[in-house]
Amino acid sequence: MMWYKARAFFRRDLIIETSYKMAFLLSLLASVFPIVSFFFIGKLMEGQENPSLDEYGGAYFPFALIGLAFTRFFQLAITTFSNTMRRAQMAGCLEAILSSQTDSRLVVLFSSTYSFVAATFQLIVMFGVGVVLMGFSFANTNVPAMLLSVLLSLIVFVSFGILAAAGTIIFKKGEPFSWFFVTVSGILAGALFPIEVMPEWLQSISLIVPITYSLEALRLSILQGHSIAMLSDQLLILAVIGGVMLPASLQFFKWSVEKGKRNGSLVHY
Amino acid sequence: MIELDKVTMRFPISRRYVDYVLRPFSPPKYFTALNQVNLSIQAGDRVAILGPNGAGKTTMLKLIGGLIYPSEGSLLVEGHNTVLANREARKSVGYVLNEERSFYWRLTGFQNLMFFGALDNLREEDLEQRVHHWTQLVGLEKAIHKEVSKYSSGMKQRLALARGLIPNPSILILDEPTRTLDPIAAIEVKNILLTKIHQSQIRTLLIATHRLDEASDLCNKICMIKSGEIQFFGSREDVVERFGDLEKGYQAVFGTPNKETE
Repeated sequence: MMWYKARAFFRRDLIIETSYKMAFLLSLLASVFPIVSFFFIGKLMEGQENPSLDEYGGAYFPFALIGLAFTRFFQLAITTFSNTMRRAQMAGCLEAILSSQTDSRLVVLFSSTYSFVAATFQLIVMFGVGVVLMGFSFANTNVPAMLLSVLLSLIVFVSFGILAAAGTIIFKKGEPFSWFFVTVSGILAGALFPIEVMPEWLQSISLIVPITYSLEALRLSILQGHSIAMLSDQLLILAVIGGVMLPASLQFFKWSVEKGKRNGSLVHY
Repeated sequence: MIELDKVTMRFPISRRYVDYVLRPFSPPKYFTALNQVNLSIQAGDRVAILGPNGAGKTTMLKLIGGLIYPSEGSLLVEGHNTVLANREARKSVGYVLNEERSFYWRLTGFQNLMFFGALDNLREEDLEQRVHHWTQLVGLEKAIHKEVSKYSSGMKQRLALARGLIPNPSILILDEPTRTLDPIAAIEVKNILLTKIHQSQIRTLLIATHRLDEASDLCNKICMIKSGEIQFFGSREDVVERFGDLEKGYQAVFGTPNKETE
């Protein structure tokens, strides 16, 4: 039944999203164009000494492509749940959905199925363009380590995303969680530059941002072929954060729905 | 069976920014929408809930539907407490929202019903049969594959009716089902309720309405509610016995018929 419900949400969103054909096409193009800029910045930096990039193979473009593509992917994981909740509130469908026989936690999880499939597709397109046109290579990639890094990272960011959705139900507009993560994490985690170029005090702050560990694990597994054992520090940190945050965020989401029901504000926006 | 025992519902009143600054520690304020309501509705009752705007009709229906929780008191639907066993309580209830926007306008009526039916644990084949059955009964079979954005208000209301009925609930709640409809569409919806739903199925019906004709044609019991308190609850015969007829009863309790207080 769970799979059947997930499919119902996916089908709903697929029909709605593909009915906006121009927006669909533009979002695809918007994911590809930034790569071009970083490809040429990478060209500009060719031949220059960049010791902070040595750990990742020395070239800037592969470093930036992984940072750009996965930061975008994880940011979507954070924002998609709250966006979905807010859209449902504004469209007037939230009350109808939450009066159904489906648990509110499943509603928030399944509501984002389409966004994740679409984001994965965009991720593949971004790397596809990188491989075909810009010389990006997966030749050294340790696939199990990369997949585990993606999975653990997703659990972490989905948890923050569910917290953000709970924030949307409580605060309506302007929930603080996704704002913080989307705005701050890209800079602190070194999406487009190695964190070693930042001042030391900023570097120490970046150590509390989970995406730092995600990007490091992904870069090292994709570009340098590091194994799961070699990435155990980063993966363990992600596993601990995810293991704590996922059940906690689902509980918090349930609490926010209960609170909304108690004060009658569930469908206000 | 529905049992309300001293049910009170208070909604918090949003504070203004200036209050946060000048009186940051002042206690929150509440608006009492329902106050110590006791009510017992038997299976098969068809209850019209009458009252002016702001009387507490929708709040009472949402509480029974498990969409909101009471601030005080307890509410049992088919023996299930709506707070402690919310999902079990909601299983018996079909809620027909009066909100036109409660559908996805980019989906067809059929796609909407299939989506909401899946959320009510109905599987594809069974669900499809039910969708066809109820869309036919509410007279939407020809328009069911059109986008909801192309539906009139009356069609959306009929679609909402079909959505509420698809899980085959023992209790059907209708919150002002004809509020946004023109007189002809309102008569159509009333006729569907009267001839197609009532007579084919035995179910408890709760209808919040401003229309006395709807109340007397569709319901066997009348509940009059004013400022969050029940002023009268009884059968149509009780109304006749106490007031003469429903219009006089309405006048006696609320003043001029259908006079809106807000």
